[in-house]
Amino acid sequence: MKRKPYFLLGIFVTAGLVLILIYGLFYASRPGEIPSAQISQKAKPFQATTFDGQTISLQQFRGQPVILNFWASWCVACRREAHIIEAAYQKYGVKGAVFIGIAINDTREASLGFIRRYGKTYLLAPDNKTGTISLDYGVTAVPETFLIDKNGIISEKVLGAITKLKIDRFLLNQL
Amino acid sequence: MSLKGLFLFVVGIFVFGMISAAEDIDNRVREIAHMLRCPTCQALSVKESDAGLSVNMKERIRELLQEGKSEEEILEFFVERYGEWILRSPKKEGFSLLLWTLPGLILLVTVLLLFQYLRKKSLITSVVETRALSEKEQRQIDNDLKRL
Amino acid sequence: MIVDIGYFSLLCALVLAAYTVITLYAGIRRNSHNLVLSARYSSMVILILVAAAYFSLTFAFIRDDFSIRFVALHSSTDLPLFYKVTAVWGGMEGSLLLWELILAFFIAIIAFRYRKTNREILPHTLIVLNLISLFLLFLLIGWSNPLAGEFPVSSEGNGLNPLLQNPGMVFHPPSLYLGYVAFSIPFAFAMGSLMRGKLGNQWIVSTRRWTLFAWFFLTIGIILGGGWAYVELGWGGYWAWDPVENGSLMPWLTGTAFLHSVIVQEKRNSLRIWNMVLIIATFTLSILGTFITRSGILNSVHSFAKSNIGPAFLIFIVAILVFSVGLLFYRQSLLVSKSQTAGIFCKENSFLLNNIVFVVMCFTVLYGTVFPLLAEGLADKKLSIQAPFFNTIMAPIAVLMVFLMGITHVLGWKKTSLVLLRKNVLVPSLLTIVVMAVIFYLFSPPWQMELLGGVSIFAGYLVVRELIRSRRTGDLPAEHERESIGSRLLKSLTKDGRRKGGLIIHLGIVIMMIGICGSFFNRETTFTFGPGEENSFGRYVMKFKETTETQSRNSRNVGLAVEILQDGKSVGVLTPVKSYYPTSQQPMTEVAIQHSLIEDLYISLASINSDGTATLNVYINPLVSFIWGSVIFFIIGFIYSMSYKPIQLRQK
Repeated sequence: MKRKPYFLLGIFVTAGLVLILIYGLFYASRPGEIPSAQISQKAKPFQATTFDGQTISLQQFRGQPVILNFWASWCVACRREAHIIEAAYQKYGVKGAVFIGIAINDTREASLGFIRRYGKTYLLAPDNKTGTISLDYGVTAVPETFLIDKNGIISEKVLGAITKLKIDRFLLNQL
Repeated sequence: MSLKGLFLFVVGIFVFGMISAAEDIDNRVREIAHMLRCPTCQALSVKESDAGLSVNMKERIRELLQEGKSEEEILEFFVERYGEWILRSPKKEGFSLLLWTLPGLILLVTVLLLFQYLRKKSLITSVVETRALSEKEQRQIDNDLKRL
Repeated sequence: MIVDIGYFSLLCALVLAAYTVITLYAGIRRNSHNLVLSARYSSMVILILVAAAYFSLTFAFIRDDFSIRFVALHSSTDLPLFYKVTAVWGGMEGSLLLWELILAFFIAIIAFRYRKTNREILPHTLIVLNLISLFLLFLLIGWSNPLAGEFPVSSEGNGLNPLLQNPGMVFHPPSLYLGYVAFSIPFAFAMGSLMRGKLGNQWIVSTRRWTLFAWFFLTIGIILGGGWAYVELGWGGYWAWDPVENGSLMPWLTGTAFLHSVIVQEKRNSLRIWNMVLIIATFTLSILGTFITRSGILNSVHSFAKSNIGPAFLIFIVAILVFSVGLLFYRQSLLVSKSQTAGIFCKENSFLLNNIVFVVMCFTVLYGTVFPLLAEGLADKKLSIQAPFFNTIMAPIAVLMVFLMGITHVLGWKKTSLVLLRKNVLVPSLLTIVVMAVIFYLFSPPWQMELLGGVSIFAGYLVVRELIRSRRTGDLPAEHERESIGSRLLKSLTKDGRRKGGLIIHLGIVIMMIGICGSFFNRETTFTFGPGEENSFGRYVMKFKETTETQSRNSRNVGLAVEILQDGKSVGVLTPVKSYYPTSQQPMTEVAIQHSLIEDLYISLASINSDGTATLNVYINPLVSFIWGSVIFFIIGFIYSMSYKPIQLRQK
């Protein structure tokens, strides 16, 4: 048997493995980070009834940028972003930006308590019992925020607590 | 006899341990949930997870089944929303074909190479063997050995 | 204070390991026996120093010395003493120290045990081993120092991860480490003989029992890990094809291939390069397993904290590969083996095929494990590759493996007559077909089960038949004929331990495969019921007896006593529990299992609801006991195999 090609093959395979490991260690995204499959796609329409009884649907905000935030009272990072979103709403709400917060896997009382404690005033609604809206948007964890542009296209998904900078950058573009 | 007895025993246990599962909707939900990865606790499947999102997903699978959707349609429903990431076993298409085919291909190629190599070698040795000791020569050697 | 001594002794061990390497090198260059002798003694001193460091850490755990960061992170005052002692390897830093301790121990043994039989390659071998030790010591004093202090000192530690507070998990890591470290010994011998350029079969004969030892502990470690997952993770399974599990399976697969192919080299003097390749692969993969576990490049059930040792391990892996493959390439001309096979159907060819199967299995596991990285890098796709993929792709290869395992017992070395072969496999083939037909008729299982079950019966028949043949007293040499039956029986039982050991281990594999076949028939259900209510599943009726609440030393346990009835008779009470540890946010699920030979009834408590009802997840897992039972065969087979003394060793 000729041995040389086998040696070359072996070196090729091991070098490949080492390259993969280097890539995984230094360049790959974190394994827990899940990219959204819906970026640049039309945002799925939904209907919800807010905690104060108002029925809203995504279609009615056509032509306006929408900040769609998924949250829950039991989530720690949601507390961190609560006042950021509220402040942004105070600033941009009057200019035409729409802020919607959907509470998932939460009890009504706990959600209301959370809203009171953090003084949230934008459109806040619970998802239904089986999480139809959150599943439609492919939510993987709370908090998670979808930035939907004026044409109803999802332009970005933010995993974890959103920052003021991200909201500002998105809305300055849109308004 | 003892051998057969032992075997019957093992086989008996083998047979007795297997009772077929009923094809009810709970089991179909589990089968499908087993193919989906839990977004919260990512090492587990949706079936194994009790996280809120997984519970919702299982409920949704049930609803979709009741609407008469097939397993493929339900998996596609989740892929559309979560991306291919949600499947614990990637689709057999595109780049993932590389994943599905390479191990089998390597097995096939190496086994073929091995057989070719062995056949070549056994041909050589069989030629050698036919020219090996005749009966007369063998006797001669045996005699020589005895004398020694 | 004591820990400072420990750290100081690690530093000394590091210096001494460097000294040993240099001395050995000089000893080889100058052909000086005294220098080598000095290095051998310093190996002994290194062992003492590392042991001192290890016990100082253990002592810190026992004394709840939270000024040590590692202790503060992995222990708490309420932890039972047993877990305090074993928490030393409950985190990465401590487990590396355990690894180094085992390695230092083995090096000391090697330095003295093989001074005569392997005089020529011993210095080279010791260099390789000490370089490995040097790497670990470097990590231990710098990157991952288990003895580092912390300020301010807290009065209470974080506590040991409750998942690790389980006997299976306590012995799982040391067992794996024993396996990994023991595999570094045949590796070092192989490298030593390559460096020396003395390439007989000596290294294989000398390390035969180390290889067996490594294989055994790796096997036990993997099974213990499975047992831990089964009772602790609460989803009814024992193997999830998780990256960490795969990391331990890969060296097992190549190690098993190595275990078989060295026999071919021993008997037929072929496959000499191949054996080198296999032991290099096995050793590298055991390091790679640790890399995957600890670097956090892939996510896994085993919630290890991410650490910064990834790059260090990667450099180490590259160094091993460059060194060993380069050496092999350099010496390849010395490793030419004369091809001297005969027919196609012979034992050595079945071993070749077996090797291909094991290596392909290992490749598949590695490929599937790292493929998400490949897909992200080359196709910008984030994929998940988990159990359903591995089950689908590994099943056919495993079928081939079990088939080969059976058929090899009816093949002879060099050549097998086809007539005899046909005669030998006729009965088991027929038996297999009949049994599988019956099973198919009764249960219509998936085809993977049919195949795996079929080859298991086939292989099982052949192995058992060989085993029965091998214990016939009549096979004893004539000189024993006058002895009593008892002594003859004893002699025939202990005779030919190597062969019997192999057969018994093969039988264990068959038993395990039958257990795995059972998993195709797993059933599960979820239900909610209230006090006094009943619910039936399979052959069992489960009756809500009472909720229980107990306080153990470091946890509050809320449970549900479920009375199990079979055919209207009570057969016992199972109490699945949820445990709340003050040191952990998530409650732990403690499942309750009723084992039997045929099936396990496995109950985990999903929740106790506010209205007094409880929700249970109930699983019926057929034949799981076979998997745990196979361990007995591995142990007996291992003892038999170890009783065989290689000839070269005996003569000295």
